[in-house]
Amino acid sequence: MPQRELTDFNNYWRMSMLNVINGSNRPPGGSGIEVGGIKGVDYDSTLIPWCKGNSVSVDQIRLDTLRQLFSLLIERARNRLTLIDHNDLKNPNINKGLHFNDLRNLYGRPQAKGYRRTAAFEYDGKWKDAEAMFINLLQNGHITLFETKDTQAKIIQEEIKQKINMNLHQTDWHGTGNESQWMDYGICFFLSNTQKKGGHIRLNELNGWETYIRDHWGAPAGITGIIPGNLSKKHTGKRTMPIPLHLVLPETMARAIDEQNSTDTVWGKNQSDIRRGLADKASHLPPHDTVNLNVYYGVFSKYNAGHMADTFFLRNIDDKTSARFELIEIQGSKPKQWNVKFEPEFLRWRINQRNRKRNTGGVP
Amino acid sequence: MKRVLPDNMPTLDYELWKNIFGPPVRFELVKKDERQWLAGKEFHVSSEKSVEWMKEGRDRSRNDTTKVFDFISLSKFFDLWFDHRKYFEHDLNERIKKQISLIPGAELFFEGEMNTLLEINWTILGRVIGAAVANYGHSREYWNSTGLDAKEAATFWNELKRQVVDDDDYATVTADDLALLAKGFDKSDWVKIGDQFRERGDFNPDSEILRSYGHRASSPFWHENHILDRYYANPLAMKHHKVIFNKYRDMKNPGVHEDVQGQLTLEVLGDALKRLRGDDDDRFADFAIKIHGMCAFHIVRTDHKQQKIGLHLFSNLVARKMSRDVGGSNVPDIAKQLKTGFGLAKVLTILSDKNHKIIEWNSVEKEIVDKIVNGL
Repeated sequence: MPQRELTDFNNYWRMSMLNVINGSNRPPGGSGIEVGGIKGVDYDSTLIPWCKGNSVSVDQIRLDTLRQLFSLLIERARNRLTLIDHNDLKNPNINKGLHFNDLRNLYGRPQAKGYRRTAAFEYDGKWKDAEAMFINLLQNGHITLFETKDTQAKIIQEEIKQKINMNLHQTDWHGTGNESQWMDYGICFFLSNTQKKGGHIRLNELNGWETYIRDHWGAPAGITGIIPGNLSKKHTGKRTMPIPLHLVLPETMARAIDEQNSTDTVWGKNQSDIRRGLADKASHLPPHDTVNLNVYYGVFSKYNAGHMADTFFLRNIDDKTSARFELIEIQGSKPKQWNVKFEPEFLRWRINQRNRKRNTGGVP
Repeated sequence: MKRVLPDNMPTLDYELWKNIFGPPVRFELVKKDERQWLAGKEFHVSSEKSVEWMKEGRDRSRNDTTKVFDFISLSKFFDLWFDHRKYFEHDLNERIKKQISLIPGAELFFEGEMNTLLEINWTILGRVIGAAVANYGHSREYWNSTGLDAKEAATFWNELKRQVVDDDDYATVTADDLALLAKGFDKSDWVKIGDQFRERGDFNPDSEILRSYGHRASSPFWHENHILDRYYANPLAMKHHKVIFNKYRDMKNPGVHEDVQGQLTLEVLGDALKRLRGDDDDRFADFAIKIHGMCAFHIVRTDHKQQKIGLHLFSNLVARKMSRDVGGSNVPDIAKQLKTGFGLAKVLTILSDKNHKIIEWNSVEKEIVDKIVNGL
């Protein structure tokens, strides 16, 4: 399922972030803004619901590997845009993308030296995950490769894409010894190969990411004298895009990669099943956004997670992406009863899933 | 299979508790020797299989075979907090702000996020308690699990402080760590300390940065990458560190700091709770600040097993109390769902210890409970 969710994400992203006519970024400031006849992004229809449906609470360490990598990519892009807004592009310290050394700092050596439990030259799982994430990001136009500090590696990028599409991309992770020969093709290999020239990966700001960064961290619309999305000052109030989508996306990628590799349970599968179960129960009876609390507990118990049911009411204190469940007392009930009301964005996630199923002839 | 409440009607817990709570009062406190007797009986058995928590009930004590069911509830001290938070929000907010203004670096750390200080992060507090109980239980030789998260959190903060103090040219032996860290530290310090933990495979401090997205008050760090690339430690966590260290210094034959971290944490929580009974006007603001510090200090969340006895056990009681005013829950149904390998009687013994009194542990005759449930 996380694989399918990723495909959904990429469809929603293209539809929401890019102008249909010429594929350019929509302006920052949200759906109420219109610049040159192009409207700002409507996050409420698909992207926020997607986040609500895919934010799972599993052991953070499992999801951390890719989240850190993506956070670095987005931080560097954000810094660059902030300096642009400050008219300070000549800042020599600016680091625009992700380098081989960043990966090494995060994950250590790609191949084991040989320990008690690890054979020499065995590839590190985190590097494999990073490669899998890069492939997904490149295929969907979210990253761009640079062979030097400022030169785009267009030819290499196309070659890599072709190999990915032809299923020639490295999958068996063979090779020995020399770190620069640890893969035959691929993006980690590209970074390793170009590290001395300044090769790096950048988030493709033209693929909607500039607008997202400005909407998440920049000024919202309606502040006198400030262009929506401006990053030159720190804004602490309401955000145009309040949900940290850039965290949910790599988490979902981590789950999707796990789904591909795993023979048993996928991380967070239980929680996804519970969510679908709750949303489906709510949709069966009017007003279509509510279930009885006993039913709510029953769905958690069905998936062997009864002990987690109450914790979900508290989750939104520290997780902005989590769905909000509101408890409402049924007036006059004896014995006293309650309903659980789900927020519309959460239910929309499930409705969007069902619509997609219908449109694709039942692909789950 | 039903133990106390029917499987399809768990929400009868509200009416059941209301009936038990009285009047007339139908429950009695599980006394210290009974708690110890129960804790001693439970060996290496998962909570759902333990004979103490079955539908047949358990013997009341060593010498009394009357069958009883156990009930646990949050300590009454928490009620004081819930009521004050509900009815005196404005006053509480002002007092918290006043206290924050007196802590070096706190105003910067909470800029634009002051509102989060009003809200306790119960799920993280649950994790703190779980790790502390695991650590404390290990020191009492209840189980083999050492409460690694509590130990690691203590180690991390000690090393971070050392690192930053060592790298500060103006720091002296008597430097105020809190003031020093409040100035923030640069990326090289962060990477250095992170690498130490990453290389050991213990945990990755970078993942803790993300907590500041959701709830700044209980988040251990904040990364200001808006032009300045600096890292800030939560000043409330540093305050908590100081409190813990002072408590440790006052202990007789304390042993290794990391090994008594759980006991110290529970004592600090107990002190904060007991103070709520006092008449100092700032006691509620003080409580919030102490709990935030405790949560922010807890940075390692790797042990799943501990989450069951903390996160789920504790925060379920909180959620039921806050959202439905359910004062207490029956232990057999909790044991069935929790499926924890920690001996549940041992966990409850620690949590209800008079030194911190996080929960209250009572029992009610099975016959009375069955009669109430059948009448609902």
